[in-house]
Amino acid sequence: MECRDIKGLLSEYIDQVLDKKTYDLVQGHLLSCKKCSQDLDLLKTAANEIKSLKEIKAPDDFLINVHQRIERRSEFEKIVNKFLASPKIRIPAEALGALVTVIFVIAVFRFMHPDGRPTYYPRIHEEMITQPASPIKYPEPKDLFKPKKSMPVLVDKQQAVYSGVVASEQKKIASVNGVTLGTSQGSRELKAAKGKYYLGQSKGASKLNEIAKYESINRSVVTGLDSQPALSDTESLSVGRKDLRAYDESLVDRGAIVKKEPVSDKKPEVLLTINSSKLTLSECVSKIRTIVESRSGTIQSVEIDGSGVKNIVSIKIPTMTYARFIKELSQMGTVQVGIFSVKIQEKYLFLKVEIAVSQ
Amino acid sequence: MDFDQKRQEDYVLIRSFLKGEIVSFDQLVIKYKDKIFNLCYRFLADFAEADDCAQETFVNVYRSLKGFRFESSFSTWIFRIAVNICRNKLVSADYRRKKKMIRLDSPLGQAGESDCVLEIGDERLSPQVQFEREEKAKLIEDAILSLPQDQREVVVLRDVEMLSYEEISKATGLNLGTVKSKLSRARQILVDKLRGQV
Repeated sequence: MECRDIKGLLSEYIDQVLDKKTYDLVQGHLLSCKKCSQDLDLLKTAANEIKSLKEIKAPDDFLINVHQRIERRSEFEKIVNKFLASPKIRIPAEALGALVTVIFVIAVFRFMHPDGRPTYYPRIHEEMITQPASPIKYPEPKDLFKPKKSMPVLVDKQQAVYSGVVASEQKKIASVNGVTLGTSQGSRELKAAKGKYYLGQSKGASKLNEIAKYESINRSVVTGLDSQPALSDTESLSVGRKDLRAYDESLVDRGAIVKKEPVSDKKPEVLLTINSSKLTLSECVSKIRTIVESRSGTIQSVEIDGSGVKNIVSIKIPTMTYARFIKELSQMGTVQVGIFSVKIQEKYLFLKVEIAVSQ
Repeated sequence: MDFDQKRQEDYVLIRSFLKGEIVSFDQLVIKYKDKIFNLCYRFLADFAEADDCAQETFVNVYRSLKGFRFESSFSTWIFRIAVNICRNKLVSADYRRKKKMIRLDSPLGQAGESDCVLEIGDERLSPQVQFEREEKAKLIEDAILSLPQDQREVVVLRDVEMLSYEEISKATGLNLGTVKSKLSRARQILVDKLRGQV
């Protein structure tokens, strides 16, 4: 055994934990090796010096401090257990599972349908399947929208957004909300000056009306249905140009929006007939416009026949407001509903209201 | 009083405590408090930290005695708890931060060397400890502190607390061969450090 091996065993040698055979080997080597013997002495000295270190005693209040710490820990554990303790009431796993499932289904339902209903079934459905007691024979839609021979043809339907007012060629009256502007000649000039604009959209018409009032010639302009005196040709032409200029600006302002909704191809799908004995035609139109605008709808066009027979207002309203619209409309007079085809999936509903005034 | 007799005495106190006699626990504390405190102090070289660890050891004993299986001696069991608490303390952030403080009596850059124990911030050293820090003892203490933690553990347990190799093995969780080799290396380092000084 070499000195290096002996050096590794000296620690166990002084502690006497070596087995008898190894102990004898180390002891024999130490007797013959002076260096290893010196190392052994140093090791014993170091170990003895360590053992000679005085024991550091605990403070006098050590026991008291231990008890205080135990008490603090117990109080803390009581608080923790109070909050984390399992509830006394046991809920069966099946009931808990069912409850969780119900909550999950409700959560999914609410997420998919924030309005609280799984699918929107408007009341229009019931009303539509209920036929009127004595159905009126309505003209076919194709006939309804077929332009009369006497009517001017819209040059560009896409651009003529406010094409509601259809001026009769014979009378040459530009009708706005039941108010007819100008004389025959004035109206002709009006048309000639601007080209092929046909004014009828409610807002555009209102604008015209306002300007006409501002020019203090409203009274003289208004003719037609109210049978009031007409303007002279010159006055009418002047008014017409001003109105068209103002209307032009209005159209430019809203052009971007308006052009997105081409109305020419969107035909009304529900035909309503209203018989009113209380209101005049203009009042009916005005009332309808008020109702439509209160329902966030728009008047597509107002088609008034000079003879007073075919007065048709084309309307676009949100589908979901249909029932209320009918209810309010019925306050004006007797309302009859004719059914064509209605797509309730559509957001908007296109109606065609035929006004018959019995006065 | 031999080892078995001490063990049986401890067992009697433990059983009494488990029956509800809190006085028995106090007797165990009084019996072992100095040994545990000394062990903690030799590990940590800080009176306050040693006090904290020693108290924590007995709190753990109080809470864990229900699980004592009477298979090993109580002394081995409590030493193991103390060793584990001291190990946790040595790796804790507070202890490390405290030990990073500049030493007053060692050149800058050699902080951490084991030639000094005076530290800024440690104002809680007891007069008793200061008295004990004589020159010779200081050298030995510092030599022990300079040892790696695992080697320091076995040296303290063996040469300070006089535990047997088997008890050290149980207290540290190391196997017997590892205890022997660590102790041998630790002692050799101490010899090299103390050569010509002691």
